[in-house]
Amino acid sequence: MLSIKDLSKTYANGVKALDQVNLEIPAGMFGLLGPNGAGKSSLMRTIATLQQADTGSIQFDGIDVFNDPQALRQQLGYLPQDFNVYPRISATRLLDHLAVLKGFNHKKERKEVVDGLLAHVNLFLHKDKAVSGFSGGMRQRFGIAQALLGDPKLLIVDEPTAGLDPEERNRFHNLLVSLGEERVVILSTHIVDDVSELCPQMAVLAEGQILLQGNPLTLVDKLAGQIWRKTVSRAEGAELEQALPVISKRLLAGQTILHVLADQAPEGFTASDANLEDLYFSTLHRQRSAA
Amino acid sequence: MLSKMIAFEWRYFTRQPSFYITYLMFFLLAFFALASDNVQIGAGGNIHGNSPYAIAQILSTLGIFAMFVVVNFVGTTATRNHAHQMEELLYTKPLIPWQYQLGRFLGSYLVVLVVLSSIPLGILIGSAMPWLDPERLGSTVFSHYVTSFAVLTLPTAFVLSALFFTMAVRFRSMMALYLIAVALLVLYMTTGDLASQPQYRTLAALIDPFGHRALGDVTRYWTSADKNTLQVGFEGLLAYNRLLWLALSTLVLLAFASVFRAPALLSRKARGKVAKVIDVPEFSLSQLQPAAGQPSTARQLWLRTRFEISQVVKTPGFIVLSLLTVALLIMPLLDPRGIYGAANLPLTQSMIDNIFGGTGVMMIIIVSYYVAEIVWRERNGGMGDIIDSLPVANFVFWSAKVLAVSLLVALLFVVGSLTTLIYQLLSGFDQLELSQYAIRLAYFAWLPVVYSAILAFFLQAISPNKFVGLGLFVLYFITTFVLASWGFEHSLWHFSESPFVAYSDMNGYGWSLQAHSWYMAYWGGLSLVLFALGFGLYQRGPMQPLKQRIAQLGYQLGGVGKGAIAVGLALFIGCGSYIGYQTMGVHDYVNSDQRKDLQQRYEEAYRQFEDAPILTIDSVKLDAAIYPSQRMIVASAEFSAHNPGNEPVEKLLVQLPQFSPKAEVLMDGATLIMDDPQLNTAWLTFDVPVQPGERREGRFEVIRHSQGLRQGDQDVALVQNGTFINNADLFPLFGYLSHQELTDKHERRKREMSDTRRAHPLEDNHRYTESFLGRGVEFIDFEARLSTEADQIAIAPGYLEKQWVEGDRAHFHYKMDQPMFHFYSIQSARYAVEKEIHNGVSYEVYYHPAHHWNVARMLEAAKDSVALFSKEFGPYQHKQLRIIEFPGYRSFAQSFANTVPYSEKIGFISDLSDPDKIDPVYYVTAHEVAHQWWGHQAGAANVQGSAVISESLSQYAALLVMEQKYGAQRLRSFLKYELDEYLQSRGHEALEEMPLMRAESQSYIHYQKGSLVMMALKDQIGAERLNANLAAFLQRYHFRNDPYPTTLDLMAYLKQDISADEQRFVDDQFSKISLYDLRAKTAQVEQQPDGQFKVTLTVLASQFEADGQGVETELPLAQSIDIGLFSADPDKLSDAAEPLYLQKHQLVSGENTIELLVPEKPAFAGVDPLVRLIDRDAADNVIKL
Repeated sequence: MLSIKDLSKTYANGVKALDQVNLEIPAGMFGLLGPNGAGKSSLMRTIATLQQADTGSIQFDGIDVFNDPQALRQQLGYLPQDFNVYPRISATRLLDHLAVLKGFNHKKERKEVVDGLLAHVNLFLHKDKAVSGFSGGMRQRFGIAQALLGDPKLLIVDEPTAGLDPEERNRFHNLLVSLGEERVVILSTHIVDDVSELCPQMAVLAEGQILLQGNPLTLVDKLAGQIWRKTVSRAEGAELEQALPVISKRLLAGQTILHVLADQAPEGFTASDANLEDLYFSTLHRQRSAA
Repeated sequence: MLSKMIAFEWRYFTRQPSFYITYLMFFLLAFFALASDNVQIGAGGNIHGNSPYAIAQILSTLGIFAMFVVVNFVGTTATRNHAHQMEELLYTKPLIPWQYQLGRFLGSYLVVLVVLSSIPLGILIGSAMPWLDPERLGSTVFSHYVTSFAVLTLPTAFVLSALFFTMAVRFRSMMALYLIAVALLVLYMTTGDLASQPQYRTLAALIDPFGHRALGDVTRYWTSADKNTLQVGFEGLLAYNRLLWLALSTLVLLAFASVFRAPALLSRKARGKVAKVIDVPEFSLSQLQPAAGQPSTARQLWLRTRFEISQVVKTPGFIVLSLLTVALLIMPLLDPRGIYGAANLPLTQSMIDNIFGGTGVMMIIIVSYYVAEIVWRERNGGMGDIIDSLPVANFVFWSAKVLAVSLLVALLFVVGSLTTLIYQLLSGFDQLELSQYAIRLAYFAWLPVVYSAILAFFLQAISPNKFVGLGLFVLYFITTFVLASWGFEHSLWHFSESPFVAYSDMNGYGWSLQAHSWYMAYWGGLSLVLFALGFGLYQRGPMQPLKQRIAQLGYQLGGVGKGAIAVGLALFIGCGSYIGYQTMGVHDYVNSDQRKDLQQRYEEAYRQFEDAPILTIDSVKLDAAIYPSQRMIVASAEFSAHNPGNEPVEKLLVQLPQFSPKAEVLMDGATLIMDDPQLNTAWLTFDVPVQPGERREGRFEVIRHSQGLRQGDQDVALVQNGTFINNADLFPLFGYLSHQELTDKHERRKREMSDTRRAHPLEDNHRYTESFLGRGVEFIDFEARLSTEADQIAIAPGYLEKQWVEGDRAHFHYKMDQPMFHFYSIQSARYAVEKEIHNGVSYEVYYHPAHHWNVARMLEAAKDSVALFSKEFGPYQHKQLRIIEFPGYRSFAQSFANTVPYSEKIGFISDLSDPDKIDPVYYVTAHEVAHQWWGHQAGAANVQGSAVISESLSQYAALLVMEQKYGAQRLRSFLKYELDEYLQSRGHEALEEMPLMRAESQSYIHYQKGSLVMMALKDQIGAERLNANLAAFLQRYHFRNDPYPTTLDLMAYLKQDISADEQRFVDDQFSKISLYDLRAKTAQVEQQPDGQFKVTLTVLASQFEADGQGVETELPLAQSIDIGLFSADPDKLSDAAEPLYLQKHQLVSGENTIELLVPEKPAFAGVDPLVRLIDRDAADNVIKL
């Protein structure tokens, strides 16, 4: 459905945000995983017609995004990473405003969809309050509601669960899953669990490059038998880090747990089931070592 | 800690670019005030650029704008913690409140002072620039800079800093501070006119936080010499002003700036929540639907426009702007100013002029500030990514924004119109003329603002952020001034401008609708291009460099956008070419430098012929057919002329009239050859020279036709309704015209020309046979045949002999039975006529039918004047007196023989309902009628002082009639205006103040001083003797040109039959610039045993003579001067309340003691209490007992 070819973008300050990005994204949920500053938002914004790339092209369902952004916008739902809203406007009025801009010309039709969406994201009780006065979570839910206006064929959500409490996050995940069957939903995140829970397809982006792409389960399978772990003290941990290819380091009850990527178990390490996090960190680790 | 806080502020700001930018800005402003001719503050004329007065003026003027420096630095300091969310970090530290707060205050005040210290530095360095004309500078005295800075800048900066610091602490919002500052500035600028009125001056000087008006008060009557030498210190109202404001601001700071309280967070009010039970609709995602229709551009546009407007209208800023608009309009309405403080009626044309004036600043604010806000609303508000990814075309966003600003501007105009309309209705004025409101405000005011807004939008579109866009717009704004000074004055260079044409009730829009339309189409074309480029380049998304947006321009523009650009360019180029062709090809437009070049060329080529022998016309038979709708006159004048000199006339320099495709002089045996087509000069060469005394007949033939577009030089004389043209404009003129020379002395020095031409010396008796109207203008026999369109009346001097209508033409035949000067007017318009025959004289007023209000008063004034002047000076020479209205393109009244053209802008529209105000209609009419005696019966020789005979004596005559009608008290308030105007104007003299008898077309001398001197003389010798002398003078010079009288002759007559002391007074007043300083020092009252009151009054008296620059030397005084005792303030004296005592006493220089016995206890005592003498400080003449 969405096909991204040779996309590159260098900002005026010299930062190379995207570097020969190639992605084929089918219908369904697609996780774009990457650390902060990897270029995720640049990629999202480029797909969302908010900026132009230096080279490359994006095609969606027969639309050349760069040459006819207006056509894509009619099928697009976009939830930016962080956003603010116009001051002094209630949730209903603001969503209604956006609905008109999306082409809901009939008042009745619009009222239905606006009320429905607000109810769906649990904001109906607050519908007459100014969105600018909402808490972070409520505002995020409003953002989701507006992105769903008009049943978009392409839904881009950039770091959507930041600021949501666990319950809201679950609700949102359920919502995304229920959406992501016949449309393209791109979920950009730096939280590995979001991807592992939701996405049949994923890619890892770092320093503007796609490092990895595919089905998370298949990809993780390739790591089977190569992940080893050990619980150590802090000082010990630092020492081992120098000596071994440590891909992640995590605290559990005051102790450090190290994960190491290796064909054989290093001394004192025990085998660990590979999971998406290991895949992610090992990919980043390989990238850093290469650099 | 105090010093640490000060040091912190200092370090903080000296690392901010704004510190250096503002420093440089004020430095440059001051620098250019000195180093450039285009900016002048305080200096000019005889006043040196670096004189103490100019330094003080620059400091105090820029001190007003320093308010924004204060807001920026002091305001930032006070709001910084809040704005940067540092409060929680800071306020948990152990601070000593007063040291913390005062330290921050003083630190930022110090920074403000350092920034403002760039002003004296800029003046100092500017005055050292080598290209300056040394004539225009005085010597450099450092103490002038230091003292002025200490008296003006130090306190003003403190006052503003303290007030804004306090407000900042209270409001914690920079926006609020800027709004207050802008509001204050606008209020300040627009109250200037009101504050300069004598009755408000003291108050205005005291309540001015900048001290600018107090400075004005102290220096009001300073002469050029004073301004060049005197240094303003803590004196007079300025000292009170400074003390008052320093005390007030310190108090405010200590009381309200939370100085002694530990700083704390703003407490947020918790809002009560009411739980409500609401039915939440069921909605599942399967119900999600794409929109049924396509996004509709019209619907989106309507929605976005409404939205953009609502986002602005509800902000406090816009509400303040609207209220300010109303306030600015109400001020001039509540206290409208006309001549001598009398109001004008609330005519729709002046209401709209008020709206134009009151909204000018607002529009600049809206166009620069709100455009920036609106363009960047999405990006800066944080909603940009969502909004920009919606299926909305750039065109929609952009049009909505442009429309919103346009409608907001319209809204302000509507608010303004409602304000003035309500005022008109409340004052019972019923000629509302709604169509004039609509057309002038929408087409002449609103549309150009919309164009400017489109330009501002475009500049924002190509800028990376709103500050760059704002900067570009300000830059554009500055270039509009700079361009003009570089010679680019044509409206084709000035975005959204068209040449200004005043509105006239008589002539309506005249040619201005058509001309304005061409220019609006021209600028509209460019605006259309800018608009299309604006939406084509609109920044959508967070970081789209201009280059990439240009790459996408074609897509964004679409067919409509490209079409718009094509149409726009075609309009712009097409209309531009047409305007250029019309104004510069068909008509020869010149800018002001080129005009000066032409003046120089004229003088250099022809001044040598100034005294060449010429012919004098002594009889004219005029025949003029006026075609008002075509703005055409076909005119001829048969004249006979003679050679009055001693040499034959071989050739004559002829100045041909403007706007005239045909202008010929036909004389037998003479040929007219064009000499310089640009100057319109020609030589008339005689085959046989005209011998002295010889008479020749001749004929002028002229077709004057005003058509097509013109830039500046409009023909306001020949219009559709209200033609008013005199013979000097209509027909060729003989001889060199010295009034066409350049007069500005600095301009002449720059061009290495001789000094500015002055009047011929009083003693130059060769000129005694030339009239004051110019060489060759003498008495003529006159007859005129006029024709015009049938619905108009055409008028020239003389009596109507015959009048008939033939087809669609009305014909008039006028004949004059008395000698009159070769100076006549032709008028034609659709007039209503009011006639009254009184004592054999027919009084007639020809007026625009809507302007009927004061016609009766004019008739009354004319009758009273003719009656009084006939009795006092001699009979009226005509049997008819006509007052004829003309359009307000020019605002004066002028007296021709038995004919007084009178502008619609004065008199006709005065509001005479307030009986306490001076009646300007009565006054102006009386003055013009008096010219029938002074000017028309007695002429004057072409030397210094000629205007004294025509103008000062007419002023005097008018005051006599005024006194007879309104009484002495009202006359005194008139004379107060005259005294004030005289004393102020002499300080602005560009060349040299002359004594009365040598006045050289210096109106403040021949009008204002003339009134004062003549009335003082009347007070000294009495009306009877004075008028008898004037009557004798008139009789001697009645219609005489052999020679014409001079002020020497006038003085000789004035001195007849009066005492030596009185003669000395005449000499003092006429031949010197004489000033008095009279002061009541002490006064004591004792009750005598017989019940009488003995008053002992000590009076200080001195008299000075000033030179032309205002340097004074003391004269010995010995003169009888009024001493008065009053039961009430003589300033508020009514005619009914007689003074207890008012007699002349002989006073000498120095202290005089006077003892008086009066039956009643006086409350006030004084010397010259009714201010009949010219005294620079009349306030100390009277003291309260």
